[in-house]
Amino acid sequence: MNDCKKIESLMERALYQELTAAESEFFDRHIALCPECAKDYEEYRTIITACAAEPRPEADTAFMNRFWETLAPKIKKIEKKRSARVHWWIDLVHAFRFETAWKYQLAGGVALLLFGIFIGNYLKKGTEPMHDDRIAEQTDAAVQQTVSEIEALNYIQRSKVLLLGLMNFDPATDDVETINLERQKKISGELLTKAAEIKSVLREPSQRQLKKLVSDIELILLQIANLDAKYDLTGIEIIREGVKSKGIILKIHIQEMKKEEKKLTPENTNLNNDTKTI
Amino acid sequence: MHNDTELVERAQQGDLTAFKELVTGHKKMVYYLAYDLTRNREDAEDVSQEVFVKAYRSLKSFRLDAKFSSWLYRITVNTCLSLKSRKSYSTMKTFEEIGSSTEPEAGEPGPERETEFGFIRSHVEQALSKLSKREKAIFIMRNYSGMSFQEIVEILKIKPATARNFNFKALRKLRKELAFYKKEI
Repeated sequence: MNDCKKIESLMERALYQELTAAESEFFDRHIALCPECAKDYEEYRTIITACAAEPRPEADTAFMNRFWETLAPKIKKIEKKRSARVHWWIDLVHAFRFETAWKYQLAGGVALLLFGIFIGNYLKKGTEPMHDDRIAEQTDAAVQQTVSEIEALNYIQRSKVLLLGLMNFDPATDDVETINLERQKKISGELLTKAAEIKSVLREPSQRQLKKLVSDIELILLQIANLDAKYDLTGIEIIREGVKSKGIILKIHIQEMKKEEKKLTPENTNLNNDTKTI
Repeated sequence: MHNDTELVERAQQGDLTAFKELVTGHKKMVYYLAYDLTRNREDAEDVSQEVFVKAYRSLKSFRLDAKFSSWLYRITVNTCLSLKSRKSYSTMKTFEEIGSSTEPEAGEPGPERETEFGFIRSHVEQALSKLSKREKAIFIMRNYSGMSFQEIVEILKIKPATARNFNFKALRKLRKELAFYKKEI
Protein backbone atom coordinates (compact mmCIF):
# COMPACT_ATOMS: atom_id res chain seq x y z
CA MET A 1 0.00 0.00 0.00
CA ASN A 2 2.78 2.36 0.97
CA ASP A 3 4.65 1.34 -2.17
CA CYS A 4 1.60 2.28 -4.30
CA LYS A 5 1.71 5.79 -2.89
CA LYS A 6 5.40 5.98 -3.63
CA ILE A 7 4.75 4.71 -7.17
CA GLU A 8 2.13 7.44 -7.62
CA SER A 9 4.70 10.05 -6.71
CA LEU A 10 7.16 8.56 -9.22
CA MET A 11 4.54 8.06 -11.95
CA GLU A 12 4.91 11.40 -13.70
CA ARG A 13 8.70 11.11 -14.06
CA ALA A 14 8.42 7.42 -14.97
CA LEU A 15 6.17 8.29 -17.91
CA TYR A 16 8.92 10.49 -19.36
CA GLN A 17 11.78 8.11 -18.46
CA GLU A 18 13.25 10.57 -16.01
CA LEU A 19 13.73 8.21 -13.03
CA THR A 20 17.14 7.38 -11.62
CA ALA A 21 18.39 3.83 -12.02
CA ALA A 22 17.41 2.92 -8.46
CA GLU A 23 13.98 4.54 -8.78
CA SER A 24 13.44 2.83 -12.11
CA GLU A 25 14.30 -0.58 -10.67
CA PHE A 26 11.91 -0.06 -7.76
CA PHE A 27 9.18 1.19 -10.11
CA ASP A 28 9.48 -1.71 -12.56
CA ARG A 29 9.52 -4.28 -9.77
CA HIS A 30 6.35 -2.83 -8.21
CA ILE A 31 4.52 -2.54 -11.54
CA ALA A 32 5.25 -6.17 -12.27
CA LEU A 33 3.64 -7.19 -8.99
CA CYS A 34 0.80 -4.61 -8.65
CA PRO A 35 -1.89 -4.86 -11.37
CA GLU A 36 -3.60 -1.61 -10.26
CA CYS A 37 -0.47 0.52 -10.55
CA ALA A 38 0.41 -1.27 -13.79
CA LYS A 39 -3.05 -0.35 -15.18
CA ASP A 40 -2.63 3.29 -14.15
CA TYR A 41 0.77 3.44 -15.75
CA GLU A 42 -0.44 1.80 -18.95
CA GLU A 43 -3.38 4.17 -19.32
CA TYR A 44 -1.26 7.28 -18.79
CA ARG A 45 1.39 5.94 -21.17
CA THR A 46 -1.19 5.25 -23.88
CA ILE A 47 -2.47 8.84 -23.77
CA ILE A 48 1.05 10.25 -23.89
CA THR A 49 2.13 7.97 -26.71
CA ALA A 50 -1.02 8.70 -28.70
CA CYS A 51 -0.41 12.46 -28.43
CA ALA A 52 3.30 12.19 -29.23
CA ALA A 53 2.64 9.95 -32.21
CA GLU A 54 0.28 12.41 -33.84
CA PRO A 55 1.65 13.28 -37.24
CA ARG A 56 1.99 17.03 -37.53
CA PRO A 57 1.05 18.22 -41.02
CA GLU A 58 3.72 20.14 -42.86
CA ALA A 59 3.27 23.87 -42.99
CA ASP A 60 1.85 25.24 -46.22
CA THR A 61 4.87 25.95 -48.44
CA ALA A 62 3.17 28.89 -50.14
CA PHE A 63 2.39 30.44 -46.78
CA MET A 64 5.96 29.96 -45.57
CA ASN A 65 7.41 31.38 -48.81
CA ARG A 66 5.34 34.53 -48.63
CA PHE A 67 5.64 34.80 -44.85
CA TRP A 68 7.84 37.93 -44.94
CA GLU A 69 5.88 39.47 -47.82
CA THR A 70 2.72 39.17 -45.71
CA LEU A 71 4.46 40.41 -42.57
CA ALA A 72 6.41 43.32 -44.11
CA PRO A 73 3.40 45.69 -44.64
CA LYS A 74 2.36 45.16 -41.00
CA ILE A 75 5.89 45.98 -39.83
CA LYS A 76 6.01 49.07 -42.05
CA LYS A 77 2.68 50.22 -40.60
CA ILE A 78 4.15 50.00 -37.10
CA GLU A 79 7.23 51.92 -38.25
CA LYS A 80 5.08 54.61 -39.85
CA LYS A 81 3.08 55.06 -36.68
CA ARG A 82 6.25 55.26 -34.62
CA SER A 83 7.92 57.82 -36.86
CA ALA A 84 4.73 59.89 -36.92
CA ARG A 85 4.80 59.91 -33.13
CA VAL A 86 8.48 60.92 -33.10
CA HIS A 87 7.92 63.63 -35.74
CA TRP A 88 5.24 65.21 -33.63
CA TRP A 89 7.72 65.66 -30.80
CA ILE A 90 10.51 66.79 -33.09
CA ASP A 91 8.24 69.39 -34.70
CA LEU A 92 7.25 70.72 -31.32
CA VAL A 93 10.84 70.90 -30.10
CA HIS A 94 11.97 72.60 -33.33
CA ALA A 95 9.18 75.12 -33.10
CA PHE A 96 10.65 76.39 -29.86
CA ARG A 97 14.33 75.91 -30.65
CA PHE A 98 15.18 77.53 -33.94
CA GLU A 99 15.30 81.21 -34.71
CA THR A 100 12.88 80.87 -37.61
CA ALA A 101 10.25 80.18 -35.02
CA TRP A 102 10.72 83.47 -33.15
CA LYS A 103 6.98 84.12 -33.42
CA TYR A 104 6.26 80.94 -31.51
CA GLN A 105 8.80 81.93 -28.91
CA LEU A 106 7.24 85.36 -28.57
CA ALA A 107 3.75 83.93 -28.38
CA GLY A 108 4.90 81.42 -25.80
CA GLY A 109 6.56 84.16 -23.75
CA VAL A 110 3.46 86.34 -23.83
CA ALA A 111 1.29 83.39 -22.90
CA LEU A 112 3.56 82.59 -19.97
CA LEU A 113 3.53 86.22 -18.86
CA LEU A 114 -0.26 86.40 -18.99
CA PHE A 115 -0.51 83.16 -17.16
CA GLY A 116 1.86 84.49 -14.51
CA ILE A 117 -0.21 87.66 -14.11
CA PHE A 118 -3.38 85.62 -13.84
CA ILE A 119 -1.85 83.34 -11.21
CA GLY A 120 -0.42 86.36 -9.35
CA ASN A 121 -3.79 88.08 -9.23
CA TYR A 122 -5.47 84.91 -8.19
CA LEU A 123 -3.04 84.35 -5.33
CA LYS A 124 -3.21 87.99 -4.28
CA LYS A 125 -6.98 87.83 -4.08
CA GLY A 126 -6.71 84.69 -2.05
CA THR A 127 -4.49 86.34 0.58
CA GLU A 128 -6.60 89.50 0.90
CA PRO A 129 -8.74 89.38 4.05
CA MET A 130 -11.77 90.94 2.41
CA HIS A 131 -13.01 92.07 -0.98
CA ASP A 132 -13.25 95.75 -1.80
CA ASP A 133 -17.04 95.72 -1.78
CA ARG A 134 -17.13 94.27 1.67
CA ILE A 135 -14.60 96.80 2.96
CA ALA A 136 -16.65 99.59 1.42
CA GLU A 137 -19.77 98.24 3.07
CA GLN A 138 -18.08 98.03 6.44
CA THR A 139 -16.56 101.49 6.06
CA ASP A 140 -19.94 102.90 5.17
CA ALA A 141 -21.45 101.27 8.23
CA ALA A 142 -18.66 102.61 10.44
CA VAL A 143 -19.01 106.08 8.99
CA GLN A 144 -22.78 106.00 9.48
CA GLN A 145 -22.28 104.92 13.08
CA THR A 146 -19.74 107.64 13.74
CA VAL A 147 -21.90 110.32 12.10
CA SER A 148 -24.93 109.39 14.18
CA GLU A 149 -22.80 109.38 17.35
CA ILE A 150 -21.33 112.79 16.53
CA GLU A 151 -24.83 114.20 15.97
CA ALA A 152 -25.98 112.67 19.26
CA LEU A 153 -22.98 114.11 21.09
CA ASN A 154 -23.59 117.55 19.59
CA TYR A 155 -27.16 117.29 20.79
CA ILE A 156 -25.98 116.24 24.23
CA GLN A 157 -23.38 119.01 24.27
CA ARG A 158 -25.95 121.69 23.53
CA SER A 159 -28.36 120.16 26.03
CA LYS A 160 -25.59 120.06 28.63
CA VAL A 161 -25.02 123.81 28.26
CA LEU A 162 -28.73 124.36 28.69
CA LEU A 163 -29.01 122.04 31.67
CA LEU A 164 -25.92 123.43 33.37
CA GLY A 165 -27.48 126.88 33.12
CA LEU A 166 -30.53 125.57 34.95
CA MET A 167 -28.51 123.50 37.44
CA ASN A 168 -26.30 126.47 38.31
CA PHE A 169 -29.34 128.65 38.88
CA ASP A 170 -30.34 128.84 42.52
CA PRO A 171 -33.93 130.17 42.74
CA ALA A 172 -33.32 131.16 46.36
CA THR A 173 -30.39 133.48 45.72
CA ASP A 174 -30.18 134.16 41.94
CA ASP A 175 -32.32 136.58 39.96
CA VAL A 176 -34.71 134.74 37.64
CA GLU A 177 -33.80 137.12 34.81
CA THR A 178 -30.26 135.74 34.66
CA ILE A 179 -31.30 132.41 33.16
CA ASN A 180 -33.31 133.93 30.29
CA LEU A 181 -36.06 131.33 30.49
CA GLU A 182 -37.63 132.29 27.19
CA ARG A 183 -34.40 131.56 25.35
CA GLN A 184 -34.00 128.27 27.27
CA LYS A 185 -37.49 127.23 26.17
CA LYS A 186 -36.74 128.12 22.57
CA ILE A 187 -33.46 126.13 22.47
CA SER A 188 -35.21 123.19 24.16
CA GLY A 189 -37.86 123.26 21.46
CA GLU A 190 -35.16 123.17 18.75
CA LEU A 191 -33.32 120.31 20.43
CA LEU A 192 -36.53 118.34 20.85
CA THR A 193 -37.15 118.37 17.12
CA LYS A 194 -33.72 116.83 16.61
CA ALA A 195 -34.07 114.25 19.39
CA ALA A 196 -36.43 111.97 17.50
CA GLU A 197 -34.18 112.02 14.44
CA ILE A 198 -31.05 111.28 16.49
CA LYS A 199 -32.69 108.40 18.32
CA SER A 200 -33.79 106.84 15.00
CA VAL A 201 -30.19 106.56 13.77
CA LEU A 202 -28.74 105.17 17.00
CA ARG A 203 -29.47 101.54 16.16
CA GLU A 204 -26.26 99.75 17.13
CA PRO A 205 -26.11 97.79 20.42
CA SER A 206 -23.03 99.81 21.40
CA GLN A 207 -25.12 102.98 21.11
CA ARG A 208 -27.81 101.84 23.52
CA GLN A 209 -26.54 103.93 26.46
CA LEU A 210 -26.18 106.97 24.26
CA LYS A 211 -29.71 106.55 22.97
CA LYS A 212 -31.01 106.21 26.56
CA LEU A 213 -29.25 109.42 27.52
CA VAL A 214 -30.74 111.20 24.51
CA SER A 215 -34.19 110.01 25.64
CA ASP A 216 -33.63 111.16 29.21
CA ILE A 217 -32.46 114.56 28.03
CA GLU A 218 -35.42 114.72 25.68
CA LEU A 219 -37.75 114.32 28.63
CA ILE A 220 -36.02 117.10 30.53
CA LEU A 221 -36.05 119.35 27.48
CA LEU A 222 -39.75 118.66 27.08
CA GLN A 223 -40.32 119.85 30.63
CA ILE A 224 -38.27 122.97 30.01
CA ALA A 225 -40.15 123.68 26.79
CA ASN A 226 -43.40 123.27 28.68
CA LEU A 227 -42.55 125.74 31.46
CA ASP A 228 -45.59 128.00 31.47
CA ALA A 229 -44.98 131.07 33.39
CA LYS A 230 -42.18 133.54 32.97
CA TYR A 231 -41.09 132.95 36.47
CA ASP A 232 -42.08 129.31 36.96
CA LEU A 233 -39.62 128.69 39.76
CA THR A 234 -41.40 125.55 40.94
CA GLY A 235 -41.10 124.07 37.47
CA ILE A 236 -37.41 124.93 37.35
CA GLU A 237 -36.89 123.29 40.75
CA ILE A 238 -38.64 120.10 39.54
CA ILE A 239 -36.42 120.01 36.46
CA ARG A 240 -33.29 120.44 38.57
CA GLU A 241 -34.36 117.57 40.79
CA GLY A 242 -35.09 115.42 37.79
CA VAL A 243 -31.66 116.07 36.28
CA LYS A 244 -30.02 115.27 39.59
CA SER A 245 -32.03 112.11 40.25
CA LYS A 246 -31.35 110.73 36.79
CA GLY A 247 -27.66 111.65 36.99
CA ILE A 248 -27.94 113.21 33.59
CA ILE A 249 -24.94 115.48 33.93
CA LEU A 250 -22.81 112.55 35.08
CA LYS A 251 -23.99 110.47 32.14
CA ILE A 252 -23.16 113.32 29.79
CA HIS A 253 -19.64 113.42 31.22
CA ILE A 254 -19.24 109.68 30.75
CA GLN A 255 -20.27 109.92 27.10
CA GLU A 256 -17.84 112.77 26.59
CA MET A 257 -15.04 110.66 28.10
CA LYS A 258 -15.93 107.78 25.81
CA LYS A 259 -15.76 110.16 22.86
CA GLU A 260 -12.29 111.27 23.91
CA GLU A 261 -11.17 107.65 24.25
CA LYS A 262 -12.40 106.84 20.74
CA LYS A 263 -10.48 109.76 19.35
CA LEU A 264 -7.26 108.44 20.88
CA THR A 265 -7.68 104.88 19.57
CA PRO A 266 -5.34 104.44 16.53
CA GLU A 267 -7.81 102.48 14.42
CA ASN A 268 -10.41 105.27 14.78
CA THR A 269 -8.03 108.09 14.04
CA ASN A 270 -8.32 107.73 10.28
CA LEU A 271 -12.00 107.04 10.45
CA ASN A 272 -12.64 110.13 12.53
CA ASN A 273 -10.52 112.17 10.22
CA ASP A 274 -12.54 110.82 7.32
CA THR A 275 -15.84 111.62 8.96
CA LYS A 276 -14.75 115.17 9.54
CA THR A 277 -14.41 115.55 5.83
CA ILE A 278 -17.83 114.05 5.15
CA MET B 1 24.93 33.13 -40.75
CA HIS B 2 24.43 35.38 -37.72
CA ASN B 3 23.41 34.28 -34.26
CA ASP B 4 20.17 35.46 -32.65
CA THR B 5 21.82 37.82 -30.16
CA GLU B 6 23.60 39.76 -32.87
CA LEU B 7 20.51 39.89 -35.05
CA VAL B 8 18.33 41.02 -32.15
CA GLU B 9 20.79 43.81 -31.29
CA ARG B 10 20.79 45.03 -34.87
CA ALA B 11 17.01 44.76 -35.11
CA GLN B 12 16.65 46.71 -31.88
CA GLN B 13 18.63 49.51 -33.54
CA GLY B 14 16.15 49.56 -36.40
CA ASP B 15 17.81 47.16 -38.84
CA LEU B 16 14.85 45.63 -40.69
CA THR B 17 17.08 43.15 -42.56
CA ALA B 18 18.21 41.69 -39.24
CA PHE B 19 14.60 41.32 -38.15
CA LYS B 20 13.80 39.63 -41.47
CA GLU B 21 16.59 37.12 -40.77
CA LEU B 22 15.14 36.43 -37.32
CA VAL B 23 11.71 35.86 -38.87
CA THR B 24 13.16 33.51 -41.48
CA GLY B 25 15.01 31.54 -38.80
CA HIS B 26 12.08 31.12 -36.41
CA LYS B 27 8.90 31.22 -38.49
CA LYS B 28 8.55 27.45 -38.76
CA MET B 29 9.07 26.78 -35.05
CA VAL B 30 6.53 29.46 -34.20
CA TYR B 31 4.07 28.11 -36.75
CA TYR B 32 4.34 24.51 -35.47
CA LEU B 33 3.89 25.51 -31.84
CA ALA B 34 0.93 27.60 -32.89
CA TYR B 35 -0.45 24.65 -34.77
CA ASP B 36 -0.01 22.32 -31.77
CA LEU B 37 -1.78 24.79 -29.53
CA THR B 38 -4.59 25.75 -31.89
CA ARG B 39 -4.92 22.39 -33.69
CA ASN B 40 -5.89 24.37 -36.76
CA ARG B 41 -3.82 25.38 -39.81
CA GLU B 42 -5.50 28.73 -40.50
CA ASP B 43 -5.32 29.77 -36.88
CA ALA B 44 -1.67 28.73 -36.78
CA GLU B 45 -0.94 30.93 -39.80
CA ASP B 46 -2.75 33.91 -38.27
CA VAL B 47 -1.04 33.39 -34.92
CA SER B 48 2.45 33.06 -36.39
CA GLN B 49 2.05 36.37 -38.24
CA GLU B 50 0.65 38.05 -35.15
CA VAL B 51 3.53 36.71 -33.04
CA PHE B 52 6.14 38.44 -35.22
CA VAL B 53 4.13 41.67 -35.29
CA LYS B 54 4.01 41.61 -31.49
CA ALA B 55 7.69 40.70 -31.33
CA TYR B 56 8.63 43.63 -33.56
CA ARG B 57 6.52 45.99 -31.52
CA SER B 58 8.13 44.91 -28.25
CA LEU B 59 11.60 44.16 -29.57
CA LYS B 60 13.20 47.09 -27.76
CA SER B 61 11.93 45.80 -24.42
CA PHE B 62 13.49 42.36 -25.01
CA ARG B 63 16.55 41.80 -22.86
CA LEU B 64 19.28 39.65 -24.24
CA ASP B 65 19.74 37.66 -21.03
CA ALA B 66 16.95 35.32 -22.25
CA LYS B 67 16.78 33.20 -25.39
CA PHE B 68 15.08 34.95 -28.29
CA SER B 69 13.38 31.67 -29.26
CA SER B 70 11.97 31.25 -25.71
CA TRP B 71 10.64 34.80 -25.85
CA LEU B 72 8.99 34.12 -29.22
CA TYR B 73 7.46 30.90 -27.90
CA ARG B 74 6.05 32.73 -24.90
CA ILE B 75 4.44 35.27 -27.21
CA THR B 76 3.10 32.35 -29.26
CA VAL B 77 1.54 30.61 -26.26
CA ASN B 78 -0.04 33.82 -25.01
CA THR B 79 -1.36 34.70 -28.46
CA CYS B 80 -2.86 31.22 -28.83
CA LEU B 81 -4.50 31.40 -25.44
CA SER B 82 -6.06 34.76 -26.24
CA LEU B 83 -7.05 33.51 -29.70
CA LYS B 84 -8.89 30.61 -28.19
CA SER B 85 -10.88 32.90 -26.00
CA ARG B 86 -12.02 35.09 -28.89
CA LYS B 87 -12.48 32.43 -31.58
CA SER B 88 -14.72 29.44 -31.39
CA TYR B 89 -12.92 27.28 -33.80
CA SER B 90 -13.51 23.65 -34.54
CA THR B 91 -10.30 21.79 -33.93
CA MET B 92 -11.67 18.32 -33.85
CA LYS B 93 -10.37 16.25 -36.66
CA THR B 94 -12.58 13.83 -38.44
CA PHE B 95 -11.81 10.14 -38.27
CA GLU B 96 -11.12 10.28 -42.02
CA GLU B 97 -8.38 12.85 -41.40
CA ILE B 98 -6.90 10.69 -38.64
CA GLY B 99 -7.04 7.62 -40.82
CA SER B 100 -5.43 9.34 -43.78
CA SER B 101 -2.28 10.24 -41.88
CA THR B 102 1.08 9.90 -43.51
CA GLU B 103 2.97 6.64 -43.72
CA PRO B 104 4.70 5.69 -40.47
CA GLU B 105 8.45 5.96 -40.39
CA ALA B 106 10.78 3.40 -38.83
CA GLY B 107 10.19 3.04 -35.08
CA GLU B 108 6.76 4.60 -35.26
CA PRO B 109 3.62 2.59 -34.48
CA GLY B 110 2.23 0.52 -37.32
CA PRO B 111 -1.07 1.24 -39.16
CA GLU B 112 -3.29 -0.63 -36.70
CA ARG B 113 -1.74 0.96 -33.64
CA GLU B 114 -1.76 4.35 -35.38
CA THR B 115 -5.51 4.06 -36.01
CA GLU B 116 -6.03 3.21 -32.36
CA PHE B 117 -3.88 6.19 -31.31
CA GLY B 118 -5.81 8.37 -33.74
CA PHE B 119 -9.03 7.31 -32.08
CA ILE B 120 -7.59 8.06 -28.64
CA ARG B 121 -6.21 11.39 -29.85
CA SER B 122 -9.57 12.48 -31.15
CA HIS B 123 -11.03 11.88 -27.71
CA VAL B 124 -8.04 13.49 -26.02
CA GLU B 125 -8.59 16.61 -28.10
CA GLN B 126 -12.21 16.71 -27.04
CA ALA B 127 -11.17 16.16 -23.44
CA LEU B 128 -8.60 18.97 -23.70
CA SER B 129 -11.46 21.45 -23.57
CA LYS B 130 -12.06 20.34 -19.97
CA LEU B 131 -8.61 21.56 -18.94
CA SER B 132 -7.67 24.99 -17.79
CA LYS B 133 -5.76 27.19 -20.25
CA ARG B 134 -2.48 26.63 -18.43
CA GLU B 135 -2.93 22.91 -18.05
CA LYS B 136 -3.78 22.61 -21.72
CA ALA B 137 -0.85 24.75 -22.88
CA ILE B 138 1.66 22.86 -20.74
CA PHE B 139 0.24 19.46 -21.70
CA ILE B 140 0.36 20.30 -25.40
CA MET B 141 3.87 21.75 -25.21
CA ARG B 142 5.13 18.67 -23.40
CA ASN B 143 3.18 15.92 -25.16
CA TYR B 144 2.42 17.29 -28.63
CA SER B 145 5.32 19.66 -29.30
CA GLY B 146 7.75 17.35 -27.48
CA MET B 147 9.33 20.14 -25.43
CA SER B 148 11.25 19.19 -22.32
CA PHE B 149 10.11 20.51 -18.95
CA GLN B 150 13.26 22.63 -18.90
CA GLU B 151 12.20 24.33 -22.16
CA ILE B 152 8.65 24.85 -20.89
CA VAL B 153 10.01 26.40 -17.71
CA GLU B 154 12.19 28.79 -19.71
CA ILE B 155 9.39 29.75 -22.07
CA LEU B 156 6.61 30.24 -19.56
CA LYS B 157 8.91 31.46 -16.76
CA ILE B 158 7.41 29.15 -14.18
CA LYS B 159 8.96 26.77 -11.64
CA PRO B 160 9.80 23.21 -12.83
CA ALA B 161 7.56 21.70 -10.16
CA THR B 162 4.67 23.89 -11.35
CA ALA B 163 5.13 22.74 -14.94
CA ARG B 164 5.22 19.09 -13.86
CA ASN B 165 2.19 19.47 -11.60
CA PHE B 166 0.13 21.13 -14.31
CA ASN B 167 1.09 18.43 -16.80
CA PHE B 168 0.26 15.53 -14.50
CA LYS B 169 -2.96 17.21 -13.38
CA ALA B 170 -3.94 17.52 -17.03
CA LEU B 171 -3.03 13.89 -17.61
CA ARG B 172 -5.19 12.76 -14.69
CA LYS B 173 -8.14 14.78 -15.95
CA LEU B 174 -7.75 13.37 -19.46
CA ARG B 175 -7.61 9.82 -18.10
CA LYS B 176 -10.80 10.50 -16.19
CA GLU B 177 -12.46 11.93 -19.30
CA LEU B 178 -11.38 8.89 -21.28
CA ALA B 179 -12.69 6.43 -18.68
CA PHE B 180 -15.23 5.06 -21.15
CA TYR B 181 -12.34 4.00 -23.34
CA LYS B 182 -10.40 2.22 -20.59
CA LYS B 183 -11.77 -1.20 -21.40
CA GLU B 184 -10.62 -0.88 -24.98
CA ILE B 185 -7.09 0.25 -24.07
